[in-house]
Amino acid sequence: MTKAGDSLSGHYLSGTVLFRARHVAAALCALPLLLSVSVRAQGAGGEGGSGATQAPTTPPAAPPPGTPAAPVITPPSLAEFVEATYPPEARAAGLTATVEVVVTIAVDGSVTEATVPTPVGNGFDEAAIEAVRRFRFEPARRDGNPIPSRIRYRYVFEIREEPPPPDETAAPPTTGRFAGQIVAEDDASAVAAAELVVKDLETGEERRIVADAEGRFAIDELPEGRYQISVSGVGLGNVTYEEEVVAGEETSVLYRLPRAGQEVAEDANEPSYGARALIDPPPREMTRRTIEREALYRIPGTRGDPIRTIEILPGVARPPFGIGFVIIRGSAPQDSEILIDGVPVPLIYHFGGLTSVYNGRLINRLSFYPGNFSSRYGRKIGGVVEVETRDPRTDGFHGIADINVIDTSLLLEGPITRKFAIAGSFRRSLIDLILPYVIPSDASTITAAPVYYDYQLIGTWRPTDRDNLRFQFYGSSDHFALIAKNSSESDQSAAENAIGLTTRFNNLQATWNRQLRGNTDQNVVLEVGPQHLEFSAGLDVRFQLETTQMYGRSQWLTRINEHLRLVTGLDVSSGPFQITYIGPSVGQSEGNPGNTSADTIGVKTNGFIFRPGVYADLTVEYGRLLVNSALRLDYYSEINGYSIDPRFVVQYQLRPQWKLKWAAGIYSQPPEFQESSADIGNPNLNPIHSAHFGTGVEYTPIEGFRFGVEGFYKQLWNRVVAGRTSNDPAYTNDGLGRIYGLEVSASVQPSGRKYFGYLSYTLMQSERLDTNAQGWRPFDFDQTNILTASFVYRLPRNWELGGTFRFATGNPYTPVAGRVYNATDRYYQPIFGQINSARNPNFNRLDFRVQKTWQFDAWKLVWYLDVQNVYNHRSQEAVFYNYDYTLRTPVKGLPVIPALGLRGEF
Amino acid sequence: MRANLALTASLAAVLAVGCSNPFPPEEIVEKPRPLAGWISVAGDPDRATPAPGETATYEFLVENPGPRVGWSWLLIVCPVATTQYGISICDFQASWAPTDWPTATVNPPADAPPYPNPSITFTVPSSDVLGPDNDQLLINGFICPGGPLDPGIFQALAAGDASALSSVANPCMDKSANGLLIATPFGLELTPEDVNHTPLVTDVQLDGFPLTSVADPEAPTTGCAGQGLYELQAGTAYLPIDITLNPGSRETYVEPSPIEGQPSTTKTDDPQVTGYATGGDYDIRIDNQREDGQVLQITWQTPPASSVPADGVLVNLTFLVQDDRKATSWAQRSVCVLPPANP
Repeated sequence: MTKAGDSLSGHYLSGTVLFRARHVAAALCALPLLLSVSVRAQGAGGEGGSGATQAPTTPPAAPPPGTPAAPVITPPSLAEFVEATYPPEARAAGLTATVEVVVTIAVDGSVTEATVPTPVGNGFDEAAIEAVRRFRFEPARRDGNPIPSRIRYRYVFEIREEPPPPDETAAPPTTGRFAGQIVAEDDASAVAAAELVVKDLETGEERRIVADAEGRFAIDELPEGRYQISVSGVGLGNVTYEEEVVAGEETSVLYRLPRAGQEVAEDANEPSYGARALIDPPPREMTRRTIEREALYRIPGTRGDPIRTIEILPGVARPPFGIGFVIIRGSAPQDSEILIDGVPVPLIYHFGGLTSVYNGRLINRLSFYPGNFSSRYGRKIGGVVEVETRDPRTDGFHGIADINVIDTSLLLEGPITRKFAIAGSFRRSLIDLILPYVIPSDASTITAAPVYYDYQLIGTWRPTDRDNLRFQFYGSSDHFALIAKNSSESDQSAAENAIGLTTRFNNLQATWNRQLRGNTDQNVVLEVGPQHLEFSAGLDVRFQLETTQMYGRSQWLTRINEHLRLVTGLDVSSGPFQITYIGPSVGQSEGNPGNTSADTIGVKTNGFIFRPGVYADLTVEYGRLLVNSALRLDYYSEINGYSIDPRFVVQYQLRPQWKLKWAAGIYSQPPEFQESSADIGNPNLNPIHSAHFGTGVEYTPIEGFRFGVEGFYKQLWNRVVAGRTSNDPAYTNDGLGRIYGLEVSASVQPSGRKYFGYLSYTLMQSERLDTNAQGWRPFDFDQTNILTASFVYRLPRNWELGGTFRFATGNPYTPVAGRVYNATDRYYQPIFGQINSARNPNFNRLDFRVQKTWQFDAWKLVWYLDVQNVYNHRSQEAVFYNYDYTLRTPVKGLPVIPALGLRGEF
Repeated sequence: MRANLALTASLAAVLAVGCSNPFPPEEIVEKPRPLAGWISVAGDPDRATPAPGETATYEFLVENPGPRVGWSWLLIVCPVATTQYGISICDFQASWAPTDWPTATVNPPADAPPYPNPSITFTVPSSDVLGPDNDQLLINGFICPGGPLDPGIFQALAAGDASALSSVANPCMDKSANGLLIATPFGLELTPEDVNHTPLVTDVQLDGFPLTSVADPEAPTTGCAGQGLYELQAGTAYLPIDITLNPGSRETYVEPSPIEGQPSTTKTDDPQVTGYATGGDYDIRIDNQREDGQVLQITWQTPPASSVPADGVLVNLTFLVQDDRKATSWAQRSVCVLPPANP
């Protein structure tokens, strides 16, 4: 039996497929009521360090990677040195000494106490204390706030010879000064006690120095020549640079050290263990937006999910209901690619947006290319999001355990041997386990609860100094579980048939980075894994896909000389597939509100897709000018078609703060499967093309502040549209598209400051032409204005406050102008008006996040509250009609959603 | 398709589950409207699949609250055009010429009772005319309650504007009336395996009481007390309505696979009953007959006492029966709901 309201007649929801069964209660609708409490445990290890010569000897412990909430502690630095009086007797006797003084420094930088725990006698102790008490310090700081501190200071008493008078006939200088500072790459904090090995490339002679508490170092008399500089810091990765020292001049440098397990910064040419070799050269894309790891987990409104942070970037439209569509610069979601470590993934969110399928704590960086991306990326005409995962930590074993009412996860990582480290993570949803205890015992309900899990296993091995091997086994699984209480078997059977969704993939990925001779780096990635997707709605609609994705890429970066870099590569996406589909005719994938045919079709097909691509990418960098020329060729076996895509990028550094950019390129992708299927589509389709044009300017007035303006235009042709008459094939390449707009962005992320923020505004028009008779129409997700502002501020006492505001023009939809009654099937079929001729009202939302951190010796505790839609403005997302389309009501978006969390880290 | 389906499925999963319907329930007939269609073959009225050369009648069940209203209609039987998606339309390119398509017109509606259901009687042309594989025809046209059709429709069709058959928003002259376009396909019997008999209701019992009476179609909504209808009190709990179908309702048939090349499967009809009413409320309104002899059961409750006058309110109950191959029939009963007696 079926409850009233389980009508088999159609209720139309604008912009989506038609569903005729609605039996299942919503676990998802209960999400706003769920409070998540998470506890993390993280092992300590490998932190701390040794002192620097004639400097405070207690450098701060380096914060572990991936812990942006950790307080930033700046050690005290000596601001005013006072020379001690050399004890006369000791000088007369020719005695020298080093006195270690324990110095207590007040918040104003004055010395409140100075003691010598190990006296050396001969008047040295008293002299040292007397001098040190008159020192003035820049006080230590925690998150920028001065705090009292205690340090050990070595006061060295040595007898200096009087310098000889200057020799007017001396030879020209043969040495130069080499000085600089070392900071952490992710937050620009000073790296104390970092060790530098300075190797003369001509003689092989090595010198070792240790940076002071502020990460500064200097060698005053270094013979002229070229040097290899190897830098390493505790808890940080190693990098190696080459520098040239000129006699009589000072070579001043700023080195940025990655955290352990983080990718080596560009220009490093010999990464050490724990870091991956450099493959990507300097900019090959016109626009690359990156959210650094410090901010990944702290953007309000993302519930700490790093991948959702792309929603705050310019050019990214807001998907309805917050589901996981990635809509980049007016392109359809299926026109953009999401990659994990360079390999496309079938889906990136559990259940379309619940949480990402990859543990965020293993993500190192998100790179976002809204257009004019490099030839490395092919088979897509929209944009690219690349998720870069990090290597396992090598500074000891660590673990993160996380539990909340949504899911629970465990992450373990650490070195196995000196050259081999692993990380493993597993997460499983808890909703289906918790709901039975939440549903009243006397209720008669059937609830569909999402059940998902994902896992990642990463291993890195560096067999030689030139090789870095990385293995990754990751996967994900989603399905619905029915939770029935006091319901009949027939009701459960009906519910099982109401809607079903199962996705599953398991991928094995191997990456080999090798430094070849002749300034060439090689990157090889191979991935293979089965994928399963199954979807059903009622008894009449069923889709099942079984495929094995086989993906390979090999890429070489060659530094031809100081001006030329060449990237060449090939990638192959292939694999067998088997598809079963029973359901309504599949219409045009976009701009097709009328895809509600009662005609049922069935197809069962299998085959093998083979899509090879080759690319070359030459960058010429001369002075302020950078020119990148690229060419990509792709073949698509399913349509026996190919594409040739030239791409160009020009950048000109007008001034140190100003950079101008221009770009143009062709981008291509194959039709969707159902469009090119011989059974239900048209195998004679051609690839879809898009031309990207862009120009922009970047302004970086000071470090940490960046402003940019970009204009773009995209022309689409060969768009696949449904055949218009019974004489046409099911699909044709007759569609066109045009997208143009302006993006304004600003990011504020100064190092050592208590705040960071992002501001972006996009003015855009995205239109499609299906047939000349219908004229240009708005794209399904055309949003004229998109404004996003996000700001996070650290308050005293380790409080942190942040907010994200979003405004976007409402999505267009197609109104229903009439209806037709089908008495045989007993349902009303809508007659649509002009496609996308109406719009939902504008959307706006404010998200809020507050966080408090307690830092203890060996662990820390974090409490946070992340509230989505603070003022509970439920925007209209769609229109819902009654059974005969004579009444309509808005479908509102998500209400206020608070998420309360508690996290402990060890 | 992979990405599309995943995204669409995700969206559907979010939207399709648990979202309440804010509209009046479909099963309560609150205005004049069609509820179903019943096709019967001349000389074999229980058969729903006319063969080429046979004459058949397609009748639309129309219902409304209160006294019955008259309907006007223009119905055409035509071959179905092959479309990728969208509504079914007549195939003006077919070998069966439009000038030969059967047409039924009642316009304006009858000005006095009885007011018949819209219907069309037609003869299926021979296979030579239809084409060898044409196993389906379409009833296209317009129906309008309580008034005449818009004369513009006839002018458009006379002028050869076939789009009028699929694009008119409201075919009534009075645009406030609930006029409808009709596009109803039905199957033909090309081989003996195609034969499908219509399931029929043989007995209806409300809370154990046999329901047999049907009110006069012209009877007013109120004042039904003492008119010979089964009477029951307002504001009851949900009452079981047991519906018995004829023994032959569960036919066995061969269903070709929708996937070309796949073997056919032998199935047995699981007829489904659906309840409609002009008042009250259904809790369970659909049931399927999955076993021979199974009595189907739906549950309904009377209107609340606050809406029932002292002389009672008439409620017409309609029970539609449809098998897996869309053969449809119906049965109608009436009850009189009285206010509860004073304690």
